[in-house]
Amino acid sequence: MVRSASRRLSSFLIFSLFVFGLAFPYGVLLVKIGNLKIGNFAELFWALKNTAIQSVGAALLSLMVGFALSFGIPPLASRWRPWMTAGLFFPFFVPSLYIIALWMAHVSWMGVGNFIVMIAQGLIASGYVAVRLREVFESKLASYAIVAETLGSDRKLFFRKALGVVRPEMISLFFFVFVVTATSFAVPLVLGGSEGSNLEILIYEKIRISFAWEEALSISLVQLAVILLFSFLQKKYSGTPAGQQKHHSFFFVPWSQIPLLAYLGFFVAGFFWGLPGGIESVQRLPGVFPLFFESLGRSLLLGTGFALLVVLLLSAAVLQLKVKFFHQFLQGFVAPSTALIGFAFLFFPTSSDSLVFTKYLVAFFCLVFGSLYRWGIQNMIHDLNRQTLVAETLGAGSRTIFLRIVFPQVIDKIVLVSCVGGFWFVGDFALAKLIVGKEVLASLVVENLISSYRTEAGLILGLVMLVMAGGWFYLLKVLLSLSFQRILSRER
Amino acid sequence: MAKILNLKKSWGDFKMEIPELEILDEGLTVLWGPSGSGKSTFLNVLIGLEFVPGFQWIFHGEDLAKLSVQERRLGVVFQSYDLFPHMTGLQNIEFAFQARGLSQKEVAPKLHFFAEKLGLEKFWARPVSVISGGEKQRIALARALVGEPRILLLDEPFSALDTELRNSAREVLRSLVAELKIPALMVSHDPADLEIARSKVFMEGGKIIDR
Repeated sequence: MVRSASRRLSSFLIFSLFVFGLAFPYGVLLVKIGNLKIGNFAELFWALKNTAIQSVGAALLSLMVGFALSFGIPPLASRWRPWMTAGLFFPFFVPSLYIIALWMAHVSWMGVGNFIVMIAQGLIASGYVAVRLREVFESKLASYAIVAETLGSDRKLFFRKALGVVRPEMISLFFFVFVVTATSFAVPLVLGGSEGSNLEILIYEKIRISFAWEEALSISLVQLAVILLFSFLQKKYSGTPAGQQKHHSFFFVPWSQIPLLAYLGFFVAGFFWGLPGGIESVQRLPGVFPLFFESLGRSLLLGTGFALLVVLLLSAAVLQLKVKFFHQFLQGFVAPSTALIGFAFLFFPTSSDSLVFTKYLVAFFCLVFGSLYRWGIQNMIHDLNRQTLVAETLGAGSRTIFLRIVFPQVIDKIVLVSCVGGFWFVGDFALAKLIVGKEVLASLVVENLISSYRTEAGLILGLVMLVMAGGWFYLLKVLLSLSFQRILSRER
Repeated sequence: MAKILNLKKSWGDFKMEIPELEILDEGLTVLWGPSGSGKSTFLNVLIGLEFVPGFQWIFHGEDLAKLSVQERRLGVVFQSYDLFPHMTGLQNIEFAFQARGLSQKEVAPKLHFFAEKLGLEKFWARPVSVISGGEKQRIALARALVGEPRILLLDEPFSALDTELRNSAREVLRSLVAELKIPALMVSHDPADLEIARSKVFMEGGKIIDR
């Protein structure tokens, strides 16, 4: 009785911590700004229409391109698989500013409206979608593929008939890209021009140009409502439980590696294109190196703190496996726009650097935690709930179930997602610019170079930053996974 | 005798109405009926996954319906076996007796008995992802029994096996239940499973039709 009461209390406290933490920026904005107001409905509908066109278009495009690219991903056993996966994730987790700066260094295509925003966002997300689709095929379609093959089916017929099985996952991916595009800022700002302003840009303009805070908050709430409505419309993620990932020849087409390599070349190799010019231009700025490396050390340290915070909080979320509404909340939660989160935290003036960095960590957490949760944990909930139930029938208590059944199966994914979160943090410049401001973080040094038309120097330092962050977080992932495995082996 | 009383509840269009049902103290009771008759729902109620107000399950003077899933101390073999995928067969079995607070020393004779009776030693060191359906079924059976349950519940435990394996698995189950002298309730839609039953109960449309 006492144990179940304390368990209920701890569940309530963890749920409250998440709800309070994630809804905090909305609360601050509502209290500080006071009332809500929409001044110009025509403008709102126009931005809403642009958001819808860009988001639906990008989500559809990423599904189509991602589907095609997925066949070029090497089989599970291949040693190239992790490298290809990392390469395909690269455009999605690198801040859009670098991608845009990279494109702008070679092509001039600014201000072309919704169409180019849709193409850019769709292409940026395609690599991520390709990896996720391939994982879904390997876990849910492998056994059907064997049956189909024995019945004489070819790949084309199989996918025509079997795609229905993975429809919930495809809808979920569509929704994921939809949300990312609907809340994106940099791409529509730079590439969309005045024709492609979405809700996010409208919010930014209301704050920076008109100082209309009530309107900015009201538009942000409209944006939240649209996304929440969409999240309710999507089918439940796990239609049928996924099995173990298995390879089948239907899932890999060797010649499909050509478009995949072209995709990787477009995003990754482009960074190396301007290497000689970049090195030369950095050498012309002698003061930049010490400032950059000092900032990079700080960025990596803070990014590590962020990764550890995410490990802790994702583990806390998994601890509440059986609380259905808790996971529904996390699944549907969408953070306010980057600009609004930044401004919400600016309402708390801080004098010391360490407090500013703490504020930045919390704000970044509010901004990205929903995405990290949806990527890392959401699709495991169904399977783990079933196993928890089986363990209960065997008499296991909640501590044993967590430490021996749930945690060993999720910790690798939690660590991976957290380290990607840390990498994401190091590359962020938008929120950092609002909250931290000064050039004390590597991303801000890079952003300052790019925005002051020293693009080549900015890109080369951006590349150094991303490579070092990638290496560091890979090492951190290995270290954390090993440490957790050692801790868990003592529990057995 | 274990007595089930007052199991009445509706799930949408489906209504279950079992005013009273007895389960033998020893040997296998088979609850059989066509698909959709409510057998699995009935089992879920016994396990404690479905709450039914007013339902009682009197077992040696104690009402198990008032206890949590863990406290009911049941041994359950699920239809898909549900072995923990990150463990070996042996680790699955170890988990079950450790969850009940039993030590390796306490269960050693029983473990030896299961290993011999079910031929587990040949495959229990392997990860469960690589063992066959029949091997999984035997691991699931040992896992359900090693924690000294009050009663063994089985949800269509042979449905994933081929005909030959089914016959031998039936025989293994019958002799295990007889040797361990425990009550067991098996849910099945296969009339062939009635061969090993000491008591038979037929269910249709959420009601017990024949005993």
